[in-house]
Amino acid sequence: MKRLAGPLAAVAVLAAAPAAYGQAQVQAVDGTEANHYENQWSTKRLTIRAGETVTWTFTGSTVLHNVAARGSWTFRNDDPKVAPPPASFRFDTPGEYRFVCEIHESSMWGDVVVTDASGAPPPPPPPPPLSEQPWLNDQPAPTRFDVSDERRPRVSRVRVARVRNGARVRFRLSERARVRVRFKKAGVTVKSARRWFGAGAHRLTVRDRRMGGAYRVEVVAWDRAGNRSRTTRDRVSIR
Amino acid sequence: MRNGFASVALLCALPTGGSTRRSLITSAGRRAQARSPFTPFRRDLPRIPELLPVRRTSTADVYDVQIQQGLAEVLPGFETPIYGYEGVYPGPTIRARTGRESIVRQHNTLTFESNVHLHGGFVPAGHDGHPMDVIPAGGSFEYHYPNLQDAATLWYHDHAHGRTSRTLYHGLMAMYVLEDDLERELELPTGEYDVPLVIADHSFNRDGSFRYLENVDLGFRGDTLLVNGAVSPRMRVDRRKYRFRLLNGSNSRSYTLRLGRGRKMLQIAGDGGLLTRPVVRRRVPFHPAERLDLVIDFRDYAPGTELVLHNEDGEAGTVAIMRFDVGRGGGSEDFRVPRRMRPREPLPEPVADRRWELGFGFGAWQINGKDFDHARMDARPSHGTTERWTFANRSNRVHPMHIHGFLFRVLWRSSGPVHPGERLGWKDTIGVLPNERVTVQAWFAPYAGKYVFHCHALEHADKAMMLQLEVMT
Repeated sequence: MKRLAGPLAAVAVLAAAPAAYGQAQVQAVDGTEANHYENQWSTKRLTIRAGETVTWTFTGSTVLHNVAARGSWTFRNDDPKVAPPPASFRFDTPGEYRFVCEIHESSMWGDVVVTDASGAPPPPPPPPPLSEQPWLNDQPAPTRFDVSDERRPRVSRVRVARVRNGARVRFRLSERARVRVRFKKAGVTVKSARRWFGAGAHRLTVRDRRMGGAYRVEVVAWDRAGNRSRTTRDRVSIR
Repeated sequence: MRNGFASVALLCALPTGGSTRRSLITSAGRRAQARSPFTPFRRDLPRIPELLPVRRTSTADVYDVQIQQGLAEVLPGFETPIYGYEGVYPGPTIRARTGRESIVRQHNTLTFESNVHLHGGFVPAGHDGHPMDVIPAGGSFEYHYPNLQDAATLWYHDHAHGRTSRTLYHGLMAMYVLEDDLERELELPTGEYDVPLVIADHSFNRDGSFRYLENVDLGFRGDTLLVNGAVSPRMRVDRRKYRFRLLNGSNSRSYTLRLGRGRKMLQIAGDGGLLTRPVVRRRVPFHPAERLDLVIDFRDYAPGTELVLHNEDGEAGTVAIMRFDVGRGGGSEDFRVPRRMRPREPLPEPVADRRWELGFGFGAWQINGKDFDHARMDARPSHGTTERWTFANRSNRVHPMHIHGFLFRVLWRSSGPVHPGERLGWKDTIGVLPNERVTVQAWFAPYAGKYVFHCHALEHADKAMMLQLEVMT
């Protein structure tokens, strides 16, 4: 029931039905895209005294509707139509009466509670068996659809040293990641190497006879979830 | 006075559970909440059992199936009465091979008529499950499925006229997986990595039974999503590729599927089998009775990742479909989905155009202003020809239109370009959106005879959005 409170409150305020003594009015309210086309009655539960009349109106409705009884009483205005004329029923016996629109029964239902002349509520009807009581799903929608590793790997202590015909890059990784080392000269990548490493201190040696000169070295790492580390740089001069 | 009346109405309308709300924030309340049988991701995904043949001949596999009442544990600790093939929900999967006949002996042990329609199958008219060809209560029928078609994810379900919205809701549906050599050559994931998923929305009564309230206009809308008969389950996956065969087994609910924050899913097949090439999808509309084969590569995710497959069009309990929990293991697989999966068959030029107006008549859904009448024939295409059929939706409801016994290609949608996931393969069901027009090219082969075509929103089909066609030789 809790889930219904929001839309119902809105509908009930909209209803603004005239409260002339002796009769009450229920209006058919078409569903909109915003409420997933849930057609409803303006009032889900109304209380009247025995001898009073309830009128169902369909003014302005553009969807096929009718009104019919469910349970122990009989009433039906007509086959479903677009905006049929109002239909009335006089309730003479205290009790609870369920009314529905036959083609929108899942959402378009309501109850008339008929009290006696003194206004004392009728004895509550016996509760329906468990197999007829709705058990509404009380769970909200999950708010996170993607729980994944969003922590960037960290590359630290990058030191590049010259070796024969190349360079040795030392670094430290915070987690298992794929490391890319680039040797750049005047902004152009001359040599590049990629490899997977576990967490901890590592070294990667790159050799190439044609690699003489001064380089800027960039080290970047990606973990398995695709998170990228910051770029860490150092310089080296290779003979 | 007016306001006074409205406030009285408001008070009357307020639920009586105002005092229970407070208890939810106590520790006991939290425990009670944790015990809710609707909590998503509490149960592991159930594997649907597979049906074994009772006899194998040199050309056919023979199955025996009881259509019977049963009990399913849908909500933990509760028994839900169902109708089921072999008394289970969803029914047992039949795995068949192209070129090898399946003979399914259906024994109706229910107290009312039933029949079985193989949805998406090329089946001779007498075995198709026409709404008027029923198995009486206590009777049996031997359905012969020749399986002379390409591999595809099919399903079988009840089709007795005027009753399907209740019988399918209560469990008379099952998968029928057809496999062939081409699929085997492509080395798509098989065995435990080929996972059928039946998605359906349901509501419940306090005793755990399914609750059904009719809505002929909108169709049934439940407040809870079930996958393979469990409330929004979880599935532990290895870091490798999986093939998921999704079936929208809901009465009338359409979904928009999304994985995590819009992660990549590779669609390899639709209703009628493999697409010509795989298509990357990040958001998939999914209408009743449609099937969707998706390959998801969990190597893209670190162990411990949790990805929720969810429905963007849902509210509260109908958002979460299921969750994939990425475990360790796998990771060394080097299989790739091929770029080209199958050639596109040439089709004969269409010989006729037909137009079908979908709308609401007097208390019933209609096609071209007509209700279902088994004594009237509404279309007579010639055998072996193709025709252009346009479905024009004159309402603001979705109509998933399904043609029995034949497949079609989607040519045009008035709402925009046809997505490659629909364009590059065969379909048997097409969701026609509100006020949209959709043109398909239907191929009336291989069998001639009397079939039906209808809206697969079951409340619409029951009342009585279904016409007949007879393919003439």
